[in-house]
Amino acid sequence: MNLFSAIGDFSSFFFRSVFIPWQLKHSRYRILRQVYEVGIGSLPIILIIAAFVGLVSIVQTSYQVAGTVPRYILGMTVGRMVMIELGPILTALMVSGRCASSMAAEIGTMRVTEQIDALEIMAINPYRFLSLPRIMGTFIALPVLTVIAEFDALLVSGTYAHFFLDIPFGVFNYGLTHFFYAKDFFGGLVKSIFFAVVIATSGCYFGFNVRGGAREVGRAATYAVVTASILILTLDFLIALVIFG
Amino acid sequence: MTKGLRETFVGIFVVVGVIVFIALYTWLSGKMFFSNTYDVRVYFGDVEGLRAGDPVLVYGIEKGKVKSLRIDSNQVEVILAMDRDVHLPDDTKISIRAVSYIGADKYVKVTPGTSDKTSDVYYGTGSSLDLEALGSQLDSLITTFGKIEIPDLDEALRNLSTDLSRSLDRLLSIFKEPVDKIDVLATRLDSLSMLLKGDGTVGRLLKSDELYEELRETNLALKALIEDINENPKKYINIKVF
Repeated sequence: MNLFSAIGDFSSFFFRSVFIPWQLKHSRYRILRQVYEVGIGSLPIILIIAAFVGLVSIVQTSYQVAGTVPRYILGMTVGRMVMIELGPILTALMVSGRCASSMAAEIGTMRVTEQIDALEIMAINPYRFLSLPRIMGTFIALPVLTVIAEFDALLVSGTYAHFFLDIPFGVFNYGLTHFFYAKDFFGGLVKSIFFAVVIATSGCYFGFNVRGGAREVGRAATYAVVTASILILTLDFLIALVIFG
Repeated sequence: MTKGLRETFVGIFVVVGVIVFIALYTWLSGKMFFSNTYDVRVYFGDVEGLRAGDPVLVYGIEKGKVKSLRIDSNQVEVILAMDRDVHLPDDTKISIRAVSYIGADKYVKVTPGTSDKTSDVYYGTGSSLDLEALGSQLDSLITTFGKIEIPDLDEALRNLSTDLSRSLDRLLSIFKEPVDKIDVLATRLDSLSMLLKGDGTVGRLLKSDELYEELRETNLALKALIEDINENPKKYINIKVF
């Protein structure tokens, strides 16, 4: 399969999953379950990761610019770094590592045990039943996770700056708020929406296309994560080009 | 886990997400969704790089922000979002100031007047040399000088004097040898000048007119002799072989 046919197959899978007549009433519980799995399930790890992102950002920025620029610049730099790039990207990569693989493994196992064939025999659209709730669930959960991660990272970095770098929280906050542009904040969230679609579609696509047995299921999980990660970084560049370029 | 419990958790998750979103946006933008501010319209001839979001200081306290800027014919209309507890009479002075002399950051300085009337529109002035700031800096300079105590100054002067005398001693010891050599040279030059004055042979040669005349006459006689030899060589050179 060459690159273009792979892109075409992936895209047609996404459109087949999303643009289908689906009734919210019947899919509601499955969507809620996916929001729970992706959102609440990933929340602890996201909080930990975001805290360390905040700490690393403030320490690195302080190391590179302290003494050469006013101290409030640190607040500005960390704030924009977290909002534009680190918050959305690291949250998406963590969720892709945790959820895309599990989606691929779950649906792949259903494929090899012929449960998906059984759904088709029962006249249940497998895309509506399996793929759509996962895409919708991730679509809802990832932006929420991103906002929480950004809040966490900024709070932790500000606190660290106050207690360990001799930068009062007021000074840090001045840099953070004085140079705030709504475009940065909303641009990061727009990114996370695209990332959510890519993560869920990747997980479902490789799960649906498993042929064989247990080994292929494992391979599908790996492919799902790798593809999601590559697509996240590619989309990150393209969206950055459109919004911030 | 029952469906109902899961729904509740998901609901809490989404609500927390929305609350965090609102909190984060409010925190970063400095805007409250339900703001407790009112708009003040000010016209400036030139805003000198003022931007939306820059602070408005009333008696030095931040009491608002620049909400928007718009060019209106040959002026700039600036909308200030002021806190409701600030009352601006119609003789209020509004100006744009720079946060620092080298930075591009600006703020709007508001000095409320004393009039009882208010106005819908105000007219502001651009930034100029901030004499108040200059005055306060001079004050602090004077205060700093005032803190210097006299005993400290005395001790500092004493130390300076000691250091200077030490340095001078060292300098003199360094120059001693060259000065001695210059003395010797001067003595020798004296004796040379005595020689040249006329007491010795060289002095007489240089100074005696009589010797000069004699030498001149001798020279002339020699010249005449040589001319005569050239004209009459046989008179002087008489070679006889046999």
